[in-house]
Amino acid sequence: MITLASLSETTSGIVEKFGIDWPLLVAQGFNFILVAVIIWHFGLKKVLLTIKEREEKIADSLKNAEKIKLELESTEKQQQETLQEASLEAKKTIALAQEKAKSYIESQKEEARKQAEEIIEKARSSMALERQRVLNDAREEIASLVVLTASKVLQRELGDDEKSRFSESAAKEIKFSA
Amino acid sequence: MLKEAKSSKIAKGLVVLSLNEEGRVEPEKINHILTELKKEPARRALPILRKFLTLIKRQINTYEGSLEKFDSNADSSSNLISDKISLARGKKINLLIQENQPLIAGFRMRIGDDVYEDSIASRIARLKKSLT
Repeated sequence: MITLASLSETTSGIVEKFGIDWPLLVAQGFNFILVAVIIWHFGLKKVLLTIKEREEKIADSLKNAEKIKLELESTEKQQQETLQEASLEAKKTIALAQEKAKSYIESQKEEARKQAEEIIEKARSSMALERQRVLNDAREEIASLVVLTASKVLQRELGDDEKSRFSESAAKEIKFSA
Repeated sequence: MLKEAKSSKIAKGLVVLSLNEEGRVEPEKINHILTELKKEPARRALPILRKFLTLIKRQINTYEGSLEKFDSNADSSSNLISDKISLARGKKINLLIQENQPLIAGFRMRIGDDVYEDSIASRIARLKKSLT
C-alpha cells in the first residue's frame, strides 16, 4: 500500500514537472488521429493501392518476361532443331541429287556408248554391204564381159563343121525321160 | 460352173472324135466338128469351142515340137534327136526345125511345156551363172 501510494505521488510529480495539460493532450491526440485518418483515407490509401498495383504489374511483367524468356528459349531450341533437321534434310537431298546426277551421267554415258557402238556397227554393216555390192557388180560385169567375148569369139571362130560336130555330140549325149 | 463342166466334157468328147488311130488330130474331122458346131447357138457353142481349142493345142503339143539350131538344115543330129524323143515318148514326134544363130552350136527343143537344150549359148550362160 505504501508502495502504491509512493508511485502515485511520483506520477503526479512527473506530470507536474513536465507541465502536461491533459485536455490539451487529449485534444491534440484527437486532432492527430483525425489528421492521420484523413491522410490515410484520402492520400496514403490510394498511394498504397497504386504501389500495390504497380508491384502486381511488375510481378506480372516479370512473370511475363520469364515466360517470354522461356518461350524464347524454347523457340530458339525449336528453331535450332528445325535448322538441324533442315540441314540434315538438305544434306540428304543434296546427297540424293548427287547420286541421281551421278546415276544419270552414268546412264547417259552408257547410252552414248551404246549409240556409238550401234553407229559403228551400222557403218561396218553398211561398208560390208557396199563392199559386197561392189564385188557382186564387178563379178557380174566381168562375167558378162567373159560371156560376151566368148560368144563373139566362138561365133566368129567356129566353122560350120565344128558347129555340126558339137550339135552331133550334143544330140548323142542328150537323154530324154519318158 | 455346171455349164462350164458340161462344155468341158463335150469338148473332151469332140477331141477324141478329132483324133485318128495314131492319136493325132485329123484336120478333116476338125472341119466336120466345126461345121456341126456352127449350127449350134453361139452362146452354147462358144465355151465349147474355147475348151476344144485349148485341148486340141494340148494334144498337138504331145506329138509336135520345134527344134532350134544354128541353121535350118535337117542333118543327122536333128534326125537323132527326133528318133530319141520319139522313143522316149513312145510315139512319133514331129519336129519343126528353126534357125537360131545365137545358139552358136547345139540345139534347143520345145515340146509343149518341155524345153530341152544343149547349146554353146546355154553352156556360156551356165558359165556366167557360175561366175556370178
